[in-house]
Amino acid sequence: MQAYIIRRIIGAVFVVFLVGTFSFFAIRVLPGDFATASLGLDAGSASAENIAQRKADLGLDLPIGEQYANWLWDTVRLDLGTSFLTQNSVWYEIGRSLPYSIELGVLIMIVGFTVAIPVGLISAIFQDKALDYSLRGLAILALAAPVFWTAAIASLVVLQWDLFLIDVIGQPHLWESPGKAITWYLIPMFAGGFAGTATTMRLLRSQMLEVLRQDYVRTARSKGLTETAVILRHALRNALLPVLTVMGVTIATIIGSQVILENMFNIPGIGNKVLTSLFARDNPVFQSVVLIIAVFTVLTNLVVDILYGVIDPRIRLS
Amino acid sequence: MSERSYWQRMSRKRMSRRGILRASARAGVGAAGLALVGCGDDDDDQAVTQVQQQQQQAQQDAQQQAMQQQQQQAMQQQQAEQQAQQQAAQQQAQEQTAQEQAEQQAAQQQAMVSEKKYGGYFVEQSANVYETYDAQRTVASPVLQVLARVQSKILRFSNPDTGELVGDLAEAWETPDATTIVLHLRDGVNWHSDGPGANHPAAAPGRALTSQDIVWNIDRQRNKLLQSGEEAGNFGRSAYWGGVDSLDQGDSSVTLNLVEPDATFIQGFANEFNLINQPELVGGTEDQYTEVDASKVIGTGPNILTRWDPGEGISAVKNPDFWGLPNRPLLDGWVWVQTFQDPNAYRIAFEQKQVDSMTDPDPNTIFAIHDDRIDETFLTFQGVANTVAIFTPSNKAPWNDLRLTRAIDLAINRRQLIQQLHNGLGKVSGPVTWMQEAWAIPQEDLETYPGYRIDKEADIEEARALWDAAGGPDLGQIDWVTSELWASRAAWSATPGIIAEMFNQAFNTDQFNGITKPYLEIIPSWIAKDFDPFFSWIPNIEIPDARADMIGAFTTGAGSNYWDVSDPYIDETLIAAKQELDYETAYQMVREVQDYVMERGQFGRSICYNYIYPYIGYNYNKIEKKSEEEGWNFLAVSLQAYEHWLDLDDPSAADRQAPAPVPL
Repeated sequence: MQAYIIRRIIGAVFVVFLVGTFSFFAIRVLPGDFATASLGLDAGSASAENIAQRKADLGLDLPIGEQYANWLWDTVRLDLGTSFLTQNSVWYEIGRSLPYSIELGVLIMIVGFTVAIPVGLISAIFQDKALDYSLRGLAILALAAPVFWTAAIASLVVLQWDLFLIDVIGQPHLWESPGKAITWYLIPMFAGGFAGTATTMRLLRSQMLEVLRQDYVRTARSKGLTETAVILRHALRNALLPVLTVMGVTIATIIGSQVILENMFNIPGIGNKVLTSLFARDNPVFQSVVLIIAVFTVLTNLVVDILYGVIDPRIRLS
Repeated sequence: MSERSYWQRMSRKRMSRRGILRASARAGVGAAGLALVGCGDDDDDQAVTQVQQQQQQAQQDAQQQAMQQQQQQAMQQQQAEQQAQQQAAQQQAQEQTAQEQAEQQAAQQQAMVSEKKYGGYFVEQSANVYETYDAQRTVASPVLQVLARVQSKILRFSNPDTGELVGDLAEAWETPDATTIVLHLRDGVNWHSDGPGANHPAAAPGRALTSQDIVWNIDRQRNKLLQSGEEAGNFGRSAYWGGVDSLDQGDSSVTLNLVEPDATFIQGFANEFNLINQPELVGGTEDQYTEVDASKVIGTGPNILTRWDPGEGISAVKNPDFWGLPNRPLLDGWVWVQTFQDPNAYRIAFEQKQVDSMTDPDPNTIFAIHDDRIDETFLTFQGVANTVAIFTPSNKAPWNDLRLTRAIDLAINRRQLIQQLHNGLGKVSGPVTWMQEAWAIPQEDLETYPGYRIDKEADIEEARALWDAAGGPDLGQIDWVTSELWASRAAWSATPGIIAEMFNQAFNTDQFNGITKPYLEIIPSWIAKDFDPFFSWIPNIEIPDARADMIGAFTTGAGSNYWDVSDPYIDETLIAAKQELDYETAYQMVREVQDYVMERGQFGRSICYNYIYPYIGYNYNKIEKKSEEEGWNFLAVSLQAYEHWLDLDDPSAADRQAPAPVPL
């Protein structure tokens, strides 16, 4: 088991290294840099001397190899540098953004699973009935409709009838101003939640249908248990196992995957930070945020892998 | 639609705008005009003598008339005294009544004025990226959008579009001769005494502005020297200040001795970038000039900066000790929120009144919001930093054959580009853009010029003949560059293909290929005069007087002459125009050069058009001194800082959700 864990950790470190290296070069391969991007439309007014001075100030005039070596050494020492854009340390920027992404991610998951589980359950119970067809149709619609489209339509509806405040400027945390925060998160959490619902709902439905045909379910029924008890106590608990696996993967990716929704609602989370830093060519922030997302994903998967290994010795041995 | 009326008004007001400029030019250079007459040749001296003799004769006549009137008045006085005593009682009663009426009227007027509840916090979007807090060491306009509300200039525009000037730190100015400008500084101007900048250890808060401050700022820029003695290459206005040969410092005046006569120089004092720094603070923090925060900014302007966290937020509050006009600034403060990356967030912020105004490159969004909220919003159009041009490298083969350059200039379908890329919101521009209206070729004249004709077929026919005659078909594939910054905008992403197709159709070929390149590649190659043909914005036009731009672009060896144009006729005419104080004469000179340039395909600097973009705001936004025009063609930040306020009693202000600035 120990060798298995060490092997997995070495693999995880290597993946993080590769992702970090990729992000370092990716932002440099893109045309432009912060010195030019910061001038925006005024770049045409800048002299070559002006731009060169700016690049020198930022260390962008160093050879690429030297920049990479510096970055690698600093990262190993957990020094992520300073944002070109805000002049704050990158750790501060990540610390500021992460809570927003966690808040939104958790809300999306709550919505997603709260809707997916009962709907999947009902759809399986009423297999091939009108209700089943309707719910599956809705699931396909949720899967087909792009999340930005759903969110944009919902925004227009809120604006048209002035339903509630979407506090895109105040950016309140849930623990600071729960009411304002919830109305701000409302559209993205439902848009994101519904989009995720479809997969989970369909997975749960198919699992339920399979489980409901198992002998032990028939046995439970023959014992005279109520249908509710059969479904909730015997069928659902078993059908949920693969769904929980999907939930684990979702949790691992949810932090960095809300780029569109965070931008549409001005939520200063990690996804927003990726985009902002990419547009501004804020190299230290972009590299570090991508690295953090990679670390988070890899760590979650590592924990899941190790747990699998603990639960199922066949995986460990293979 | 509003835009239709806008263009109608623009058309009607062209002459009046030119008239205003002429008037302001006369006022501004009147003293210089007299001085120049005094310094002129013999004919001029005779003319002055004749004028003086006429003035003396007129004075004698006036004195005689005055004596006669005094005698008549003495005789009439006795009679009048008797009547006066009788009427005194009546008059006294009437005067009392009149006085009461006047007092009532004054009280009513005062009440009307006081009904205006000046104040409010204006909330708007601002850029995310600020490269420095030192306005003198940048060319980036976002920086000055913040600083022009906090710091002052020597002069400022009371109307940026027409070039009308008023004093800012200089209360008055005079030009005793063609190369001398004397600035008389205002009394009672103090640096901010409160706020993060005032609390910086290097700052000198509350101190009076001195002539030494002005000299320090000018010297710093013209010499490109930091306090440490190190030379810095990033002083954005060093070419302008390089026009100053020497400075003489008085107690409350500064005299600038120019290298050569320059009638455009005074307008440059009001250029929004020419802000005055405090030597102690900026000089003391020069080594941290890219580390932007409010504590490194102090000014003499109407607002005090209380927060400057790039990417997060910026705020300023009213300077309680501002020396400017009464009640100024009218706003209590400003809040700049970080740039919205997505139009959805911006739209939510505007429609829920979390920000007070909005603009978007896609005009349809703005029009839709305006139509939806027609009763509580106004729509206007702005045109800053929006000159679009096609640059052909006429300084090198094969484009140094001016037939090719002219063929390109003729083939540009300017009106079609305006339609395709800007929904028709724009007007074609000649070598001087229509934004600099007092110097531009009027639109109705421009329509008769080859390359600008409504009948594009005639242009195409001529272009094709020139292209074929100059061997254009033998040039092989021609990559025409569009800047990536331009093409990165969704509405303009098809531009490279549009440009290539435009030329392919015009010349009946498939040689042209549209590509994109980053500014980082385009700009250095352009400056090095070794560039590929490209389509992009032209750098900001910063003052309404077009002579400086024309000289920069077309005279031999000038800073922006990337085409190596060297033509004695252009040199002589433009230099003469620059020194000419009479507007009509100078205009005629510039107009002749424009004609000359256009006959030569603009030497490869083919100005195409200036587009405008819609700006929407709620009706509670008020401008105390409103322009006759809609919007501004030039940066007008300092004017807004003086004149903008919010009428929170206006019905449109209901349910406004505005964040307050960080207090002092």
